Amino acid sequence: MLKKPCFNLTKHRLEYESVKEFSSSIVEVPLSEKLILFFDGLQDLEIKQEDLLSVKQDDLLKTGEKFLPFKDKSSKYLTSGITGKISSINTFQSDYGKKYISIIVNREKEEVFCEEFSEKSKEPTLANASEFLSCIPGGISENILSNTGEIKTIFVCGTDNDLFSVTNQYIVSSEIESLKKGIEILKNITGIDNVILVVNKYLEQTALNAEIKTEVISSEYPKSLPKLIVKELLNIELPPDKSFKDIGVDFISAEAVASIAQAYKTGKVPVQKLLTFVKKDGSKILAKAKIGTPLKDLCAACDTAIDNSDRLIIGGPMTGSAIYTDNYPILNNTDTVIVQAANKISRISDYPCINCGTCVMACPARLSVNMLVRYLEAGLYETADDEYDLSACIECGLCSYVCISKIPVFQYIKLGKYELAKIKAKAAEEIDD
Amino acid sequence: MIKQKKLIVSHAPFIHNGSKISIKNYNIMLAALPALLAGFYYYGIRAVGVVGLSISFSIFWELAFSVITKSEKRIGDGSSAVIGIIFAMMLPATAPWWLILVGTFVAVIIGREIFGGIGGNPFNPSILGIAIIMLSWKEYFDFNQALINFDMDFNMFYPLAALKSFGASSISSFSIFDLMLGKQAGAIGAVFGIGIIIGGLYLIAKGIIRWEICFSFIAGILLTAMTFAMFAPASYTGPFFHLFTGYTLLGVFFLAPEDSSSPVNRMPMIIYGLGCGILTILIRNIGVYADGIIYAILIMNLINPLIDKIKPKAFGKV
Ligand code: SF4
Ligand code: SF4
Repeated sequence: MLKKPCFNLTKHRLEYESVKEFSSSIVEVPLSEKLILFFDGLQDLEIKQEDLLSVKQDDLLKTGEKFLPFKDKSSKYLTSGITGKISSINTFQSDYGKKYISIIVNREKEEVFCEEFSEKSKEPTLANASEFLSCIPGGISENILSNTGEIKTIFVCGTDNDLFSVTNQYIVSSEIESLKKGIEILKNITGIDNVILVVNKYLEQTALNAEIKTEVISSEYPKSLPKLIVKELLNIELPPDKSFKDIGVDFISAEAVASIAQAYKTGKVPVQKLLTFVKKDGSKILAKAKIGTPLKDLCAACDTAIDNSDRLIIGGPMTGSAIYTDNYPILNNTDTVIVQAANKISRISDYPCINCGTCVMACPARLSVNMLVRYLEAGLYETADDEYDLSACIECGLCSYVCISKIPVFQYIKLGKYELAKIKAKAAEEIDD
Repeated sequence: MIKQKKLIVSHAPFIHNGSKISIKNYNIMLAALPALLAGFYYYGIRAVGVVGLSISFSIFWELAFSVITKSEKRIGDGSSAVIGIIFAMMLPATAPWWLILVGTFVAVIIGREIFGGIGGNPFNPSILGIAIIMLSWKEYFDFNQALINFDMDFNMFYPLAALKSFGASSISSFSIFDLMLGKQAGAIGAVFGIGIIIGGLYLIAKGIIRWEICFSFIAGILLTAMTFAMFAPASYTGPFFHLFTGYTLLGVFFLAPEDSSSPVNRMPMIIYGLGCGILTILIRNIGVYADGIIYAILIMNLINPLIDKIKPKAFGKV
């Protein structure tokens, strides 16, 4: 959403990729020898407390089988995409202190499908969706699965959050019938009638032809970030301290909705993730792989060799994250994987902010980013929030993208938010004591 | 285990729009060219010398500072060269070398480096340099004296001095059109109004300077000068004379919009521009100085951090 300043002829808008200009067949990634399943319901639990784990090495899993990694009655579970034995269980630390348990499943020769879902789900209900489908490609949010009446509107995103990706657009353009079926099922099981497909102009006609209730949003980045969708379609600017649930809204990706339809049609829990793969030369292809497939297998299937000093990115170019190992799995929300060659990586510089104001013009949340960086650089997170609205940032990354001094503004912001949350948590604890 | 590949890890976003400080500065230099070339045309080789010296000295000062303080050398980004060029544009073609040496020292070292270098300067460095040497060696900025040896085919009386000393009736001999073409006595880069406007519009189109500041600056000048002229047409001249004389256009397009010393939010930019314009005319019409631009912009630079606090409500805040 680079607002074009009046009379400014040279700056271009950042447009989302259009699936219409996409003409490649889908690469089917061959079955991997092992899958890596990430479980993020870890919270305070430590993997060392082995008695808490409900799975152990050498446990056999069937294709599509769900299992609870912890004995704890948390409702979170994982679905195995292959038939295989658990070979190891580790913790994996990710950005900003986020912890996962990674469970590695080694593939067995013979594939056995788990029948549990097909037996229990002759009829779609919220209960069996919640019991089996929360890990499907695209994922279904807790709020939808446990709907207690607060959610009034579900937006089905036929748009992609970040640049380069066409994953969800592809679903709209090529699986519109499953999407339509999925929306019907979703309406029936949740009792929410207001399910709206959100697309950009490239797919408006496709959606209308299928007679799906549709809203069109701009194809300019970052208009399809959830907060901006809500702003555009409902005219609500979600305050930083409120959640979508508070205003009765939730989101689900087009891929997830199509997967719901597929699940009930075939009686199998879908485990294949569709994603956009961006090669080193910038060309983009669609690939399909099981959730949990290590990225190195994906890259190999897409004829891309990863060398030292390259950058491997999951998620889009504006908001994704670079990871340090190609032994990282495809997750159920990995819409984009990007490989950047070492020589294409633009480095940050150590210039200070020159107060040019480009970031302020670019910011869709109307922050005074130029002042914000000054406070964040100095580590004054609370002042940054009180006076310069740190928490109102909607995390689009545009400020870093346009910064002429190449300051990692967005990194400062994310770190600032993380530190601020810690400060607030600590303050709350002290009050409790 | 196979040896881990070493991948580059860094934070999003992973792409950049390619803007660079050096490109920005080269564009500013390019934009200054039409006005400079006109200055060279009218004042000849001496003007070329002044500009050349000014650029060299500015770069020298920055280099010297970075060597002494052992900081990173950044002269390649062109920001000192820009300070030098803009500083020279405000000088008469007869400025002696030592004046330029001192002026660029004030501009680069006092105006910028001691505030932490690029981005830290509260004032426009070139203006600070000019203001200080103007106070110290007034005679060099008496354009009538300074340019006495130049024999041109147009009126070589410095228009603002004429206005100040002899009142509004004395300036009827200046045609606005001549003023626009640079047929007036003045500083090297400040006489050719049309050239400055072309350069300025180029910078606006490139998104390097902000139209809000430039246009509100002009609006401030026009409105204030018009008000004066309306109430006392005998003593005050009309707005267009002000626009095309002295440092006005230079101020509008090259001095006031300098990044670090000007606001970034829209409303503040407009207030800042208007303020510059209004103060300029107030100083010219009732102050003691013939040209008010320098002090007007310095004052607005000073209160810039205050005005820039006026900002829009952030997303979702009420
Ligand atoms: S401050 Fe936040 S919302 Fe504004 S441009 Fe940066 S990332 Fe986007
Ligand atoms: S774009 Fe970068 S240099 Fe310009 S004001 Fe923003 S943070 Fe500062």
